[in-house]
Amino acid sequence: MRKEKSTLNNNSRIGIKNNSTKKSNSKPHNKEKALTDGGCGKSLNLKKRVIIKDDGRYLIYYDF
Amino acid sequence: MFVAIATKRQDRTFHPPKDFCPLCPTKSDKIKTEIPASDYDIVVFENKFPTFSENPDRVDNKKLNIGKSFQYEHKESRGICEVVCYTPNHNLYLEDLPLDKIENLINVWRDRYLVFGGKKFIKYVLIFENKGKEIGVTLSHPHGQIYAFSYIPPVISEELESSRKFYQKNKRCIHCGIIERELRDRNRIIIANKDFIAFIPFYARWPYEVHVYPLKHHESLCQLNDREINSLSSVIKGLIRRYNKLFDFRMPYTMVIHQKPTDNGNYNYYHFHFEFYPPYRTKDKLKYLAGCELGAGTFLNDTMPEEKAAELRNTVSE
Repeated sequence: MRKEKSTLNNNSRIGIKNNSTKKSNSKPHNKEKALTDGGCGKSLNLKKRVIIKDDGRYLIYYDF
Repeated sequence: MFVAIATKRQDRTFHPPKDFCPLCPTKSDKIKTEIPASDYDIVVFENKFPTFSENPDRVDNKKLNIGKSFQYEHKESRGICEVVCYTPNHNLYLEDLPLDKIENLINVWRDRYLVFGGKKFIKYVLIFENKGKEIGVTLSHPHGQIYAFSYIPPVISEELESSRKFYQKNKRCIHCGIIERELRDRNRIIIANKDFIAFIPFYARWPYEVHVYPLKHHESLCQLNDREINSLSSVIKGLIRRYNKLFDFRMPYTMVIHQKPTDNGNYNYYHFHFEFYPPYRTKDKLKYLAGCELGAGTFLNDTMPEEKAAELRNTVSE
């Protein structure tokens, strides 16, 4: 079992195996491509307004 | 399996009165909600009680007694959690929206997938909706969520791996094969149009579990054209309205969208789709996950998918 803990960052590891933690067969390359279209072939160009709330969180209005 | 420990979520808002709904627009200075505007089309914002965050808390090794011999594999809960409000109307659910509004929502989902996919540390974007108190929803205002993961989560990873192996062996997409089979058999189909198909899979875990696929081999929502977006809106609306009609109440469900990861890998063997898991097995009985499901990873389904599909198919969607 792999444990995902918000307060931990220790690098200790154990070798408990599980099917679900197998690495995919992906071949990472050219990260910028995903930035532009993610396979869409075009950007969406949606109308949006971003505000930052008092507590620092963002909020985005999508206007149609 | 992964476990995300997020203790701050214990304090999240729990079934507030309707007048204090945090997802409604702010109507007066006295009651400020999550959304400052008095009206909106669709809004997304960072979850106030996130499981993952872009800058997670640092470890306190001393407090947690973590030394060099600490044996558990772990890491920070890095990611992004967003809430998506579909409508300012507290009582208007996804299936009540006109088709053009559902199309707008699909476009927002596409945009968030692209935005998060563009972040280097995000490997997977999960768009989902939990609906109904039976599912554990704490805010009844119609909304969905997006979790952007810094890793590919296990259910997705396993599905990808199976899809990849099948593709490698047979030189074709396993999901395209499933769609062909469903179109041939017909008896598990709920709705189909020129671009999408909704059916209870042969291997359904829940009695009324429905999967929605594009007929064309697409890896993510982003590859849909305008006509397909319209077709998808129609199928989503038609399906949920059938769910509601089946037992004469708004059917609770979990809806997830399985798309290709955003790590820029090659996933041409994968086929994006929606999965709906309603928890009811009859009008007044819930299906629970118990010993065999939780302890052995084997779902017990007390029903035949073909019979449940006929029930939903014959439920006329108004």
